[in-house]
Amino acid sequence: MRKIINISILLLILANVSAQHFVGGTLSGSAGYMTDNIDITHSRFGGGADLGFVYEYQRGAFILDIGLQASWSVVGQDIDSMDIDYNMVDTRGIPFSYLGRITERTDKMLRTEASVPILIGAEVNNVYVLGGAKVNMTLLGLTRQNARLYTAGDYLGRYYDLFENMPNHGFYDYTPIKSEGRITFLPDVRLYGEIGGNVNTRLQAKLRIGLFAEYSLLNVNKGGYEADMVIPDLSRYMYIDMTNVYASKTVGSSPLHNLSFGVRLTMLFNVGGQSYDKNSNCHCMP
Amino acid sequence: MKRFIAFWSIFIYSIVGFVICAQQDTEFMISNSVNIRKAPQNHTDAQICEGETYLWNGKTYYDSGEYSETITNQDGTTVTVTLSLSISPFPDLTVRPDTAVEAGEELELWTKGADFVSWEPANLVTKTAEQRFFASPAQSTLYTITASTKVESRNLVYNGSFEDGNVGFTTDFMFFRPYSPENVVFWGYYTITDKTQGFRWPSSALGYGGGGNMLLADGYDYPGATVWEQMVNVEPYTFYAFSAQVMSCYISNSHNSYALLQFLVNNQQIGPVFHSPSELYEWVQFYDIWYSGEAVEATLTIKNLNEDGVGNDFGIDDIRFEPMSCSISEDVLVLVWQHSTADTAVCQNQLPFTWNTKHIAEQGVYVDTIVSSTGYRDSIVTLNVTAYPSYDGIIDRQTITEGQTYDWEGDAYSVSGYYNKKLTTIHGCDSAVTLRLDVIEKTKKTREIIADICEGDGYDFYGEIMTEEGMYQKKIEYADYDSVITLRLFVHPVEYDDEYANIYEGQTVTWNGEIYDAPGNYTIRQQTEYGCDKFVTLHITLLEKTVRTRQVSAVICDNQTYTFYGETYNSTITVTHEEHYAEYDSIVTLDLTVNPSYSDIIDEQTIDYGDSYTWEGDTYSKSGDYTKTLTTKDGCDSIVTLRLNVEKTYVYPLVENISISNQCADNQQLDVELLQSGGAIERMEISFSGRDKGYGFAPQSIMMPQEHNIVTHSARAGDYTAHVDCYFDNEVVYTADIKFTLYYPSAVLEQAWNDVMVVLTQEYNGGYDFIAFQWFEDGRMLEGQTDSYIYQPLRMGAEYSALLTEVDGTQLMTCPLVATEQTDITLYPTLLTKGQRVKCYVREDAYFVVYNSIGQVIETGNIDNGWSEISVPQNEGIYVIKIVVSADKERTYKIMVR
Repeated sequence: MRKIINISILLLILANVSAQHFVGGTLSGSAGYMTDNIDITHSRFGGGADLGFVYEYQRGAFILDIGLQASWSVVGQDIDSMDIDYNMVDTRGIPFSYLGRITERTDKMLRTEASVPILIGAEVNNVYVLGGAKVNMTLLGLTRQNARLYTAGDYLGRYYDLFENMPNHGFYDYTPIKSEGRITFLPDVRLYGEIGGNVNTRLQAKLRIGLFAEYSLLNVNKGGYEADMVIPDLSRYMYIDMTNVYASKTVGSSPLHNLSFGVRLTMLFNVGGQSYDKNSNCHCMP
Repeated sequence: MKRFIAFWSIFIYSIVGFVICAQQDTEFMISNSVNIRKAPQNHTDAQICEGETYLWNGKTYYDSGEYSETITNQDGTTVTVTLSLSISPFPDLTVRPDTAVEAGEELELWTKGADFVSWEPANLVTKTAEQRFFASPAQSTLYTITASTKVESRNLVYNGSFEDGNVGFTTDFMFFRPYSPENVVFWGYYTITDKTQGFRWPSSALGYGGGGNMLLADGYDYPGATVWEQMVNVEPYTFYAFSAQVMSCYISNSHNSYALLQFLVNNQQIGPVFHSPSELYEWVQFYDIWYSGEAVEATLTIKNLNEDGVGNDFGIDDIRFEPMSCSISEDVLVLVWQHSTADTAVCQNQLPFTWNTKHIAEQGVYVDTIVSSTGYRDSIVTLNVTAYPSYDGIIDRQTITEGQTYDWEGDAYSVSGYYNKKLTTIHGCDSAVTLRLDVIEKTKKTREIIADICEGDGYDFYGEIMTEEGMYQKKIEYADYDSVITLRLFVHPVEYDDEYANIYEGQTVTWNGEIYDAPGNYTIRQQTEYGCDKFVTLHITLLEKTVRTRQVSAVICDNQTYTFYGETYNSTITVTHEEHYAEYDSIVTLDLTVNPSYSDIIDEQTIDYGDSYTWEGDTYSKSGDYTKTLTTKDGCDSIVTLRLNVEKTYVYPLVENISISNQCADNQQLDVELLQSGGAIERMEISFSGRDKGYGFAPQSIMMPQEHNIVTHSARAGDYTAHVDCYFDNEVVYTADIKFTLYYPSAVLEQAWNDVMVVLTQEYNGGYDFIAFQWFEDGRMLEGQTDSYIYQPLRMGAEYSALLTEVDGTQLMTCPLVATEQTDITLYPTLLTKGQRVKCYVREDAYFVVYNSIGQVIETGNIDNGWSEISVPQNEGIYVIKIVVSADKERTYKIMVR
């Protein structure tokens, strides 16, 4: 990181009066998911958006972008069906096995992140290419787990059949349930690449539209969780609570990486140096 | 050794080659023969050993082969000379390795790889057996083995096959040319003849060689006559094989007419005397080996030792004298151990020393091997070393007391110090000893004596008699110390004592083993604890006897007795009992009063059947004697008897029907309903048989009209048949088999909550295994409720039952279970962490009590209807929470805090 900053400063020093300076904002929409190596999870695509501020230095074809972005993303994992079996005592004081199955479970995360992209590239004939690193940090991670719950009472041989479908006694017949929680991730450095072109507008500004992709270089799994994915909820009678798989001990030391790609709009305003000629693609002699 | 042989072989071949060459231009003569044959002048046969070279006509030859040279003579003529050079190999000799033996021990000197071997020195070889040599040398010997292998090469004998005729040998026989085949030769004659010409022997006699010439001779009486002799040049240190073919051609059976031929080399016989074949015309070969040693010439001789002229005709052919392979020599060293033993004694301080190669550091037996006079290290010497001790610096430490002397090695010492002397042990070894003498000062010891004497006695205190109490001291000097003795003397006086005793007349007193029966003073002498005299006096006084009187009064019933001093009384009487003791006389007077008792008073009454009679508080309705025991005013028994007679004027009962009501299986008794007219039966005898008997029913008797129930004992649900016999006046008046049903008890059902009614399993319902269910509410079948439980809001107060089917097909109803309002109390969780609160739900207002594990109340509080929270103790442990709604609605939960 320090090396990248040094190089960036060096490039700024080397700038001369012919260089152009731009500031602007970015807006993007993306699709992505998180990768892991957990057996029972199946990553599903989610969506995201970010809003950011960017400074661009341009000298000739060379461009350097430094910015600050805030992003929101939702990704999720489909979880395989899970069976539960707890020894409990009912309100009459009679012990029984609280059997159950959780199906159609989906764990989703809504993340609010801040990131600092440091990108270099080139712009030729209104076509630009940017690549570099993006330092990313999760500011807030909210989780929501949805599933269907089936439970039954096995009275250890006392009764002939399982007690089923008695919701007032805690025996549910594939009832939708949900749980919510929080999650944190480690800081991340993402490899970022973007390609696109300038779009003619009536504004004295440069509007870019490009496609981008980014991928986590680091494992963002914080690890050290001790909670089970499924927990009998002691605050509610005969109910099951769920912990996000990435915030449970199931995640273990599994590497977690983000992968996303999308479309980015960038609006840049010339704030110094040679004025921006939005018709510069005419290659007219000065 | 091989190099040595090779060198000499080269040298000898060079000489032989020179000689041969020298003879090439000369004739050689046979002493008694006129036949002269020139040896070939232009051909040389030569033989060398492997690795050797052959020098011929100034050139060196290395390999076997035929070589030719053209030589120009002095006269200018030229001659072509040829050389046949052969290379003789060395035998692949292996000999036994060097060895060591004890003297007198025989060992085998074996060899391998050679046809012929000889051992030197031969006189130290004890015996041989087919190239196996045995030796038992007295001392170490280096044996040299010379070995050779036969090589098919050249025959050194000239005209050995007689093909050149009668030339090349000398003989003592006369030459004769036979004129008749009938007479081979005459005595002492020989001839050289063609084996195929003019002779009478069969073709088989052609024998060796199949043809050609042979020497034919007739032995005669000239002892040791030489048959054939020829001198040849030989190479030293080489084996030669001497052989010839011999045939008998005329044998006289009346004589010992076999030729006895002796083969000699340089006038030394080789091999045994050869006996010509016993079969005519059969060729047999003589063959033996000769070793040339240092000889360079060999005279080969065949002599006939048989002097009989009759018969003794023999033929000789193919005489050969052939060199063997190159000889090789090996040495075998046989060490013969020579043992010797010596003893030596040294002083310890002479150790260590060196003996031969040994370092002698301590006493012991040492063995070494040294070179003996034979020049070999074969002498085993044993040295027994005895080391006698020598002493150096031995300190004799002695201690004496001041004023004493110590005698040591002839001198007396009285002053502390070290004294050295050098002595000699009995073995002559040095003994340097030191006396360390310590002179110590005298010590003073004190002793105290405590002595007790009696008044008038004395104490001997080291010769002085002490009689007065006090403390005395004496000092006594000993050699080692001075002793100061202190005497503490105590003088004890004579003591006196008195004792007293009272006796009545006739009594005695035993005192110190003596019996005293009269008043008076009696004195005895005893000893005090110090052994001094003690005089004790007993004073006995005689006392007078007294009289004691006592009055006893007693009252008894006449069916009782009273015992007074062993006597039994049963009537009113006054008696006196006296007893006399040493101290007094006792007089006891008894006044006994006897009151009457009554029995066998019979009150006889008669009543009608069915009536009763009340007597002394009890009511009787049956005939019989009834006895009661009463009490008189004096407290005595009054036994009275009622004899009740019942007139049998009864009506005979008529039983119209008996039935047993169906019941729940968990009822303990069954109601028996009896419908009768006329009289009343007295009892019923009920019995069960078969399966019913084993299902919890036992035979029983029901007394009528007081009883009317059948008692069951854990009967299972099912259909039963009871056999009933009704009795009246001990006669069976009615008999019937009554069927009834026991329903499943209501306990097989359980109301779980206010909306669940469930059938319990076999483990919980008393052993019934159900497979089908049909639920009823107040006897009305609930359509579609055929599971093991119903889940619907229960109607409180309604009776719920089920028609249940067992595995064996038995189908019965259950007794109904009335739905009651369940106290809907919910409390969770039961496993808490510190600080966590439990949640509770009740439908009505209630209160709670929290107990700890030993039953102490920890907390109480009220609970409003609905959900509420209860705080529990913060300490880990097990607690009990009781939720009480009303007196009959409460529930208890056990919780654990951790």
